[in-house]
Amino acid sequence: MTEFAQRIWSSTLARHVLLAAAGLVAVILVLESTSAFRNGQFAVMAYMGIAAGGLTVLTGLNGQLSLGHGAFMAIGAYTTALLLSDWDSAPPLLVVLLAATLVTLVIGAGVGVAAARLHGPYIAGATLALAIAVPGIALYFQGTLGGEQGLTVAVPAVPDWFADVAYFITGNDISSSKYVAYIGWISLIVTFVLLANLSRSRVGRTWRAVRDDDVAAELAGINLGRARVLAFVVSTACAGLAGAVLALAVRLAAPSGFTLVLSLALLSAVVLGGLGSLLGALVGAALLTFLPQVVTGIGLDAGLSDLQAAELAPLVYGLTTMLVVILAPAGIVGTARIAWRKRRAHT
Amino acid sequence: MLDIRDLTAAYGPVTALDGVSFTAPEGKITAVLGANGAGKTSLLRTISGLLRPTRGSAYLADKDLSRVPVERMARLGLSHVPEGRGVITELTVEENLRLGGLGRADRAKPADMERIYTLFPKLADRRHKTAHVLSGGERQMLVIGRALLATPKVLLLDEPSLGLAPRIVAQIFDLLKSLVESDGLTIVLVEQNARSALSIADYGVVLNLGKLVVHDDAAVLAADDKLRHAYLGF
Repeated sequence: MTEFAQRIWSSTLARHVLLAAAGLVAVILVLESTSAFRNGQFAVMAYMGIAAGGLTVLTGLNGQLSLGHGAFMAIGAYTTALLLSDWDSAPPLLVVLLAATLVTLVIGAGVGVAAARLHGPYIAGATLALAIAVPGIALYFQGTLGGEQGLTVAVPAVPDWFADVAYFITGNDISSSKYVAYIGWISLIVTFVLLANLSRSRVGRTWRAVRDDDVAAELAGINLGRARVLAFVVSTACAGLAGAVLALAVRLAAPSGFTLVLSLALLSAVVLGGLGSLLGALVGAALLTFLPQVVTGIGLDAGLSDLQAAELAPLVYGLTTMLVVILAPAGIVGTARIAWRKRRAHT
Repeated sequence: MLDIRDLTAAYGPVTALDGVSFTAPEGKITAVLGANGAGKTSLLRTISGLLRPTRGSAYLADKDLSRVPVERMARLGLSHVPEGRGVITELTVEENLRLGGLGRADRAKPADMERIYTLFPKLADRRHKTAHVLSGGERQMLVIGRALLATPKVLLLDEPSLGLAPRIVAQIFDLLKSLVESDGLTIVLVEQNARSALSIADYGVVLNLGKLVVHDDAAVLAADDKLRHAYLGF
């Protein structure tokens, strides 16, 4: 590496911005070269990635276990659905995304203040209750929140300027589902840059100190409660944004989309990828999104019936999780990183 | 500098400290000695707020510490290095040190960091390595360095010699002595290793079952045969 490149690389912010730019190029290449169906799946991966990124910061860096992030995604999704109830009076999409993030953040702060007093299994229990209770709210307020049917989301038309820019860069026209995939991935990249900077900053060091040794952290002058609440708030804000992208991708916010399974899937994505690693969160989200499809496809090719092939997916996902936990307890990215470090130390 | 008045604390029904009073004068080292369970660690924990007194209080330059939140103590100039080191092993040496400067308005200035590295050259060699590669002695140096970066007026040290080779203990004690002389630091040193603690301390306090037995010049305590045999084990 030249000296200039090295200097850029050693600056945390410059490094993250460069990685983000590279990520954006990769996203454009992938979304332009895949079908509309795959675009839709990439949108799913984007919102799972955003939520998993937020969760890995909370669980990996700050040591708080949340079983309720699906509930925070629901809050973001319902906020989006309420704002985008019809085409005519819809606010700009950026405003919608920010509003969903902000509303979830405020509710997350409330929960976080309560949760900061809890530890280990107790905070897991409290957030578990949240995961079960929040979808019930939609059933209770049937009039405004649509009950079991949920609320449909009117995804705004692709703005002219966005279509122009997209055409200028890619030479392709932009469909609505591709537009949503772009929104999802741009949200993910912005979120990850912010999270990466945060975790490399004083705040991130504070979080890790609180996780590893709360007495030492407190004696060093860290307010434990404030550090825990801040990590919780940041994490729930991510979940809110993820929920907003989900609402756009699915065009629906309904209680059945935010069951406990979603919260647990997020946690398993984080563990599979590697606790505390943003790249790991992305790998976990990719596994969650694509593994079932791939496995079902293989099953069908092998001559299984539709039902059998569909049942194969959870089995393989479960086995993958078990294998990772047993053979690579640091997660996929974590283990790869350790192996790479060892190799570099030897040479 | 640090006034302990009638300090009493308990873990549930078990009294750990019972009406302890003494003063740790400015710019001196006060050694707190006693057998296991005498209340030495509880004394430090109660001063820094990890344990709240049920009666009495500690005063730092006449400020009552009994209601100050733990994380404010560092800002007031009281640094506590707990037993068992408290190194954050996943952070690098430098990041661990920076935690020490959190409570300061000016953060840790580069010059202050360099001073710590001059005091502990071994840490300088490993500043960008994660702290889990450090040996026991280096970890002790790291937590002392971290405490010093908070620019304390009073440093509470809990068993810095625990598990360390005698040569390393001597190094750390020499360094403490020189810090007191150069910075006018006030140190309260809890030690099992009474002989080496008294060799650098100006004053000594002996605790037994939570009560203060004696408070005197370190030299007087070291020369008192009866006391040494009864409480200090040498």
